[in-house]
Amino acid sequence: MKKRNPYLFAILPLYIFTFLFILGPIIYMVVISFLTNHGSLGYSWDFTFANYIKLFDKVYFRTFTKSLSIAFFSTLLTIIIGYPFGFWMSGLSAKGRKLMMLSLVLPFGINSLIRLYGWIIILQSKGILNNVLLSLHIIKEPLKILYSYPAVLIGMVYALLPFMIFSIYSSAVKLDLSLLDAARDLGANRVITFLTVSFPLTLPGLFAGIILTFVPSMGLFFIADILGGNKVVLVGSLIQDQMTRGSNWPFAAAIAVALTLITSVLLYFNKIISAKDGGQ
Amino acid sequence: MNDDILILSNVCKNFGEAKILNNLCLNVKNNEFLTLLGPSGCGKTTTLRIISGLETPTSGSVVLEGIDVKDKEPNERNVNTVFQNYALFPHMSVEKNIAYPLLLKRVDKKEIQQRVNEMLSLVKLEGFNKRKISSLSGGQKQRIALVRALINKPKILLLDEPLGALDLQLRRMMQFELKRIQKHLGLTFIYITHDQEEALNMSDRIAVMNKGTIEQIGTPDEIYNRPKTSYVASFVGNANIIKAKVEEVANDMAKIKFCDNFFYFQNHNFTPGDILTFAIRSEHILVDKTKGTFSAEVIEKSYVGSMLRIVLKTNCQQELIVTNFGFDSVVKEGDRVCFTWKDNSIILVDHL
Repeated sequence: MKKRNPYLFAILPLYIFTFLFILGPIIYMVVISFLTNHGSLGYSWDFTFANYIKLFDKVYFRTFTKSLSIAFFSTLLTIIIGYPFGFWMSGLSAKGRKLMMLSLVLPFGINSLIRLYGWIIILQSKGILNNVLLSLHIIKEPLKILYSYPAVLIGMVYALLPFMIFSIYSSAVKLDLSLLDAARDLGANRVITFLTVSFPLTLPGLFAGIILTFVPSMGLFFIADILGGNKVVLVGSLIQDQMTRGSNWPFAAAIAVALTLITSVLLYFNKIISAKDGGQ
Repeated sequence: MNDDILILSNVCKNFGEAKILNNLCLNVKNNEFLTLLGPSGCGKTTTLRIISGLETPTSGSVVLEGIDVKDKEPNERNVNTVFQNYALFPHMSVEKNIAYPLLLKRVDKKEIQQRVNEMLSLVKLEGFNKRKISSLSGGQKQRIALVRALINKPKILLLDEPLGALDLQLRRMMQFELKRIQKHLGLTFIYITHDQEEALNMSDRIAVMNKGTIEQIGTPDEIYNRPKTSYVASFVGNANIIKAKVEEVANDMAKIKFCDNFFYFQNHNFTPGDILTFAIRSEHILVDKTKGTFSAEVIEKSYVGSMLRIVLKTNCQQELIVTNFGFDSVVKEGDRVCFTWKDNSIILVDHL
């Protein structure tokens, strides 16, 4: 007879919770994505692929490509800014690192919506950014950044940058400095040392950072709503829109399923690459 | 010219306020096995890092094969290092680790393969090419680190306590192995250790370091039998240090008072009243119940390895350590005993 797990009883509530509140809603979502939109209940039990076919409508399909491109570019920008930053931070004194960490964590104490409204003040046509640029005579007319693709990108990068920095920092701070000495001793200059030793050894942090920025940036709808106005519609906003104003739950569910699948596939690729290159 | 491959003159190194090296001078001969011996914090590793170019000295010069390399990068010096904790690249295979310096130089692939195999057979690890670093034992890692530093054919190999993390048996084996490789390749080794036994075993010459300078440099025999300072005498071989006063001087002999009696020592321009410092090795002190020049009390008796260790307390309250081979001794703790030392075994130290 198989031995019963003695801790089963203790873990059971966790299983129940997971089934009820995580797996349950997902199953529910998948099921209704195959149903037909119908008046009062929200859906009727008529099986259909129509919701999925509708995804390939030009309008909806473009939100997907737009979302992917925003996610891609905001991840890329967080890498470009976050990698050097995190790496630099790991080289600071213990006191400097604590201070830097604190200043990165501090903004999280303020609601992210409020912080986004702060960006409106900065970016709007008579905002701080334009005033500064105008008074420095760098530009002649106010830039129209707010309610555009760049504004959404700025907002995304702003919101997600700390996660990239933390990931890079946590792997860079573990870097064995004697390895860098060894590389230099064996004939590498500083650049080659970075490329052949520091960079490969911080790749696990980089891949973790990509997951932590790419996945949320596919779904963060409120950033696009607030900074993009109604000009930039991302998948997240589309789902929200279909749930509320459109009151088309089956279609919203189909979009959500598609989004989940796309992200999962990308995560899977990320995992394969990171297993091959960086980590052991 | 002379056959010194490396000359450090008046090298100083400060880290902020801390003076790590203080006017260090060191000449290293071609093909010798030189050991820097000293306690931790005496500046051994800093000296090594200055030679390899990983640190720049605050002042002084580093002349390698007749060329001042003080301001040259590590990759411009024909010197390689075996690091204390091996510093093998965890993301590369054994082969890639060893070939790293050659890959940087873009050496032909076939030649790399051949030289890596040569190196692996030098340390008897043939066939380990594709192994992961994490799958190696401590001794194997040590050997890989060694050949990685050797593959570039350096003129000088620097070894920073390479055996520190190995157990005693493996240490002994690796000591022998290192010595064999050094002879076989005809290289200059500069070896760091804080283990005096290791230093005495392996070295052609030993430089005993203290507080950022070299206290004494010489063959193991010179360092052990003729220490110049009380520091060297007590660090290498744990000699007893005693102070004694010159009573009378007669031509070539001096009568010297220690505790409750006198002994005679060759005169070195002493004047009566001089306080002299002597070193006396624990194995040179003879203890007997009745025979001996000085008297003392046995305050401790214990066995260390195959040695009997006795601690004596003299009449002037100084503690002396005595060691004897074998376990048989008539004395017990608390006994009043007499002691003397073998002829010519007392060494005058700290005398300029």
